[in-house]
This record gives sequence, C-alpha cells and structure tokens, in this order.
Amino acid sequence: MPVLQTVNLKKYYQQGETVTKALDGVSLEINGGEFVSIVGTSGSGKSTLLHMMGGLDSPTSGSVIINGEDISQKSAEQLTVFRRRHIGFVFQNYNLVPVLNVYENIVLPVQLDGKKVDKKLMDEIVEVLGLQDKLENLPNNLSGGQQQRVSIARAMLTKPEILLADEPTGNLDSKTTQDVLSLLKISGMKFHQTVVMITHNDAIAQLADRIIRIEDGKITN
Amino acid sequence: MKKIRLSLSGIFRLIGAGAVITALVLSIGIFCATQDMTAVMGCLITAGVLSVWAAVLIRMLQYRLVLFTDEVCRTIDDMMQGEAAPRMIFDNDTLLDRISYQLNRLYQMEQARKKTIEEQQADLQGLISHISHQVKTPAANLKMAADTLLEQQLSPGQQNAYLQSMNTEIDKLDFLMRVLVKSSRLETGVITLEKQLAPIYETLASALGGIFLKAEEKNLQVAVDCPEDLSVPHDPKWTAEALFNILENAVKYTPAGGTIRVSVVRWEAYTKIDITDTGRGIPESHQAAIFKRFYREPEVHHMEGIGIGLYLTREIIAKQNGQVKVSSGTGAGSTFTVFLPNN
Repeated sequence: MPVLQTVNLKKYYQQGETVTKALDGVSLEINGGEFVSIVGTSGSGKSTLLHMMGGLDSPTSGSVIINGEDISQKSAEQLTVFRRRHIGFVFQNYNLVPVLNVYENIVLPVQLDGKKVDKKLMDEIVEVLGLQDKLENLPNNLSGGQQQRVSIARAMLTKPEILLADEPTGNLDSKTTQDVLSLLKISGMKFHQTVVMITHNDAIAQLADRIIRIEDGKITN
Repeated sequence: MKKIRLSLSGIFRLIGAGAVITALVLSIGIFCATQDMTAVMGCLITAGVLSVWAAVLIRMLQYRLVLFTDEVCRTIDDMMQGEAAPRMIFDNDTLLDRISYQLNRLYQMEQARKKTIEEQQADLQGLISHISHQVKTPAANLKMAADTLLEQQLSPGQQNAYLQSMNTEIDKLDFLMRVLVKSSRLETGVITLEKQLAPIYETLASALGGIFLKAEEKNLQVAVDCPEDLSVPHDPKWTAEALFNILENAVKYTPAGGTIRVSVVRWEAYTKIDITDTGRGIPESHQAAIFKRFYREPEVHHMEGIGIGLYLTREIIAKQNGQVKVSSGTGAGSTFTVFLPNN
C-alpha cells in the first residue's frame, strides 16, 4: 500500500477573470521508504504539490491520502497533530521562529508533542550540519545556508514518517549538499522514511529512487 | 531518583490510611477546640463523602488504565503476528495515541528492515548466479584448452594458438575479479582517494585508452575536446576509472557508426566533463535508477555487464565532492556530465 497518494489533485487560483491552474489533476503514488525527487521549471506547481501533500494547503478538488486516510477528512486539531507526528517539512524560506534560538527551534516540534529530545540523534544531526557553534544564536544572525540547515535539522529530529523538502540544498555549498543528502538517505533507511524532495539540480534529483517531472501543474513523465 | 517498589493497590491503601488518620486527627482537633459534637459530625460526614468520590475517581482511573494497557497489548500482539498492522488512527493529543503512533512507527521500521534484508538477499543471490554464469564459460573453455594441450601432441604453432585463447579467457576472469574487488573495496572504504592537482587531459587519455580498441571495432567516432593545460584537483587513477565506466557504456550502447564526444570545460567552481553518445538513450523515469548498484535497463539484459559501472562512477566522483548527472531521452543519445570541484 502506498504511504502517500494524491488523486486527481487540482488547485486553481482565481484572479479577476483569469484562472491560474497551479495543479491540474495530479495523481501519484509514493511507497513507504521511497526517495522521490520532484523536478520542473519554476512556477510549474512543485511547491504547491508539496504543500498539499503535507496538509498545509487545501486543494480545489481531489484528495491527498496518507496511510489510506484522506487528510481532508480530519479536523483542524487532528490535522495539526497529524502533521507534527507524521510529517517533517523543510521549507524553501526556512520558516524559523525568530524569537527562539537555534537549539529551541530545532527541538520545538518534539517538545510540542510532549516527547523528550533524542540526544544522540540531535548531536549527530547537528554535527553533520555543522551547527555545533550556532545553537545559541538567533535565526536572524545566521546566513541563508545556515538557516536552511537549521530547518533541515528541525524536520529530521522528529524522525517523521514522511519528509517533504522544498529545495533543501538550494543555499548550501557542494560539500554540505553531499553531507545533507547522505544524511537524508541514511536517516531515510534507518527510520524507514519516505522522502519527497523538490530540486532544480539534475545531479541531485538523480540521487533519488524516482524522478517526477511536473510542468504546468501536470505530471509529464 | 530512588525507585520505590509500590503496586497500584499499595498506593491506594497508603493514601486511604493517610486520609482516615488525617480525618480522625482533624476531628479530634476540632473537638478539643470547640467541644462541639456537631462540628465533629460535620467534619466526619465531609470526610466520608470525599472518600466516596475519591473511591469513584480511583475506580475510573483504574478502568482507564486497564483499557490503555489492553490497547497497547493488542497493538503489540498485532505486531508479533507480523502480518497484521496495528491500528493506524492516532491523531488525537492523548497518551494512548502517542504511544500507538510510536509503536506503529517501530512496526513499520521492523517491516522495512525485514524487506530490505530480503531484497539484499535476492540481490546477492542474483549477483552470485550472474557471476557464476560469467565464470562458467571462461572456466569451461580453459579446461577444454588445457585438456587438449595435455592430451594431444600439437605443433608449437598450434600450442601457441591454444595458449593465446587461454590467455583471453583468463583476461575475462581477471576483469570480472577486478570489478568485484574494486566495488567491494570502495564500499568498505578500504580505498581512500587522494586528490592532487593534475592535468585532467592525462586522466581522460588513460580512460579513453581503455575503449579505443572496442570503439574502433564498432566503427565509432570518438571526438575529444579538452585543453591540455587544464589542471584540476582529483585522484587521477580513480577518476580515470569513473570516466572509463561512462565511456565503456557509451561504446556498448551506441550502434556501429555512431559518435562519442567528450568535452571538458572549466567553469567558475567546477570543471565540467561532458560525455555524449548517439546511443539508445535512457528514459527520464529510469535516469535515477541507472546509478543504483546492480541496476540494468530491462532492454539490455542480454548484453554483458553486471550493472556496477555507473554506481562506482558516482561513488568515486562523490568521494571527491563532485557530482554526476545524465541528460537523455529514449533514442536521443545520452550526455553524462561529471562535475569536479576546482578547489
């Protein structure tokens, strides 16, 4: 059974007379433990699709099914808990909480779920991402690449079942990119995670098990 | 924190006794202070009512706890059965949902681990049967040639011909062994790459040297465009191996009369090596899979190979912080691009 499934997913934006079709009937299935990259030109609907999969945005029509459940059937409160437990999200614009320091930002989702921080995993992630010296800093004092790494650490610490990442290495140098990708792969295997990653870089996309190309809101391959 | 061994009913008994004593002490205190029997009665009645409610509360908690334990046990039973997945709905902010979710994740991980092991076993079995298949023919040919040499009186010329053919078979076996040893060494990390500033032209030349004969046999045109004075930090031996693997595929999957074009360009941060062929091409949906170990395109299963070349190539390039990518389409030829960092 696929872990993540979208059925004829559509998202239309109405702006005056014109209708923008961000997603135009996307149906796909992703199996548990799969590493999938989504590629496509900018404005093709990749990010919208990722947001829908994570229950962050609601479709005009169609449905997102995770573990056999239509997530649109959940109450707002259930959806919040669901996202927190099942899904890790690496946002393109990082979405860090500006008043919390790096450490607090990373452990926030774990603490919200009332759990203790997995110290060993935390140390490992922080080391691979090279954030040891930055834990006390506020996000505003960090560079784009550093903020991106904090956002990756935050998404990974909860060991989510599904990891959705929007250009997770867009602001990283080649060495860190390699490290982040192998971290994603190893953690994916260890914790049986399903990883869906948007990228512009063909070489990175080809590290995945499967490539999905989206153009004009449709899957083209 | 010191651990105190205490059963649930023990706790209840202790608290009950404490409550009774407190009530008695309180009543006596009140009696001493007021000498009024009604106040004492009021106090005792309040204590009685409170204890009844407390008993109800304890009962309900106990019931809830039993339910919770039952649920957890059932989930674990399901997991032990192995086939039946535990229940999947736990999106409420309750203790039970939290623990069920964790159990479910554990279950999934165990299942996945089992599956991975099975897949690896199948891979391994496939590889072993493939290797034995590849070893069988040369071994049989060697045996035949050796028998002939031993049993028959042959002229020196004939003997030479047999030895020549034995040599060819040994080369095949040797090649196979070298590929296997290489991949296993690279995997276990026995091999460390040593980056040094060296002209990429020479590395490329040594990779090209390995394919020239075969390319000539197939009448393929090989065009190379590489500045001779371009030096890049890389491990010449292993990088040549990585490039050779790509080139070898290009020769293998390009029909006779085709062209293989190699070009090297220095960019700001990377040196880019393009290897373009006019071969069968790779559909986009398989472009990630071709870099996996033991993966082979379904259409080329009849051809020689074990599906390890591109896997090794990527390992070698990644170890040098570089990247490999392919752009291709069915019937459109392929371009493999290797990026090596300039510093």
